Amino acid sequence: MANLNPENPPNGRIVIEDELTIYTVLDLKDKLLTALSTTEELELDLSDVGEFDGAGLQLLVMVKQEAAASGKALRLTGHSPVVLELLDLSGLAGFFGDPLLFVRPSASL
Amino acid sequence: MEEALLIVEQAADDPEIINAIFRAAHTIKGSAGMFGIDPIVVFTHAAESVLDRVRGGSVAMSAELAALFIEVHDHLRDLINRVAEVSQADPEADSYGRRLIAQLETYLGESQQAENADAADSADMPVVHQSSVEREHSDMVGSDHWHISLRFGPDVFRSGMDPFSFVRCLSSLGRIVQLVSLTGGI
Repeated sequence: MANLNPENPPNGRIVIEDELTIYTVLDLKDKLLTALSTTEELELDLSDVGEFDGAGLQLLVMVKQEAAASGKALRLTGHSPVVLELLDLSGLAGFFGDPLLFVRPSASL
Repeated sequence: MEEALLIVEQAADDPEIINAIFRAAHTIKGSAGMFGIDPIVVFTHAAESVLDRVRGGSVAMSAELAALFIEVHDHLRDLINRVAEVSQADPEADSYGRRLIAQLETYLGESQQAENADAADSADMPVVHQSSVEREHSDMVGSDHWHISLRFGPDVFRSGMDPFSFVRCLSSLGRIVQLVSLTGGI
């Protein structure tokens, strides 16, 4: 269940495939932290993420904190709909600080 | 729950028994919410609200109310069985359920359309302290403001749960005005 597509090491970009959930976080944690250690800036492309839960969110937070602690940058890009939804629900979009656009259906007053 | 209800018919004022029934209803509602079974959540919420008033003393337990709760219990069991058997919706049972909810609401001292949508829209949850609110007599229930703090132990994921399923359950009961995730523990 490899969820990693290391196109990268030079420019530190990883595409996360499909599942970013409790089932994959253990595996991903090691790979992401290793990748972070080899670059100054790591980009995580989330456009393929089809499943994303609290555990996956927690992993992203952890990697973000690791990056900050070691003076590196972490950028999340290509947020898929499930990623956007949970980032919005959790109120953590600002924490990550990546440019995002949330489109909400207009509510009737 | 049934045991407690049968006892309460005789020992109408025992607070421990009322508490036991309340806790049972609350647990059922919580579990149903976790699994997204909204009809059970709505139904138990009405029962729970009345039980809460009984606990608080603003509504007196009576033989009549106890009998209503026996009906409530039976209907709840029916709802749960239907979910377990993945039965098709039963309009007769649903209208019976709505009738029970209406009866329960007479104890809450307000008339309210027992529409699921209205119940879901009625409670706001901004980050302010809870105040006890006198309910207005209107089509919409007067807003209750709740500040809910969820703190999860380190084993929550290991136990097979996701904190956000709790959040989603809450959002089926009311409207989340603001949610702040604290990441310090990660």
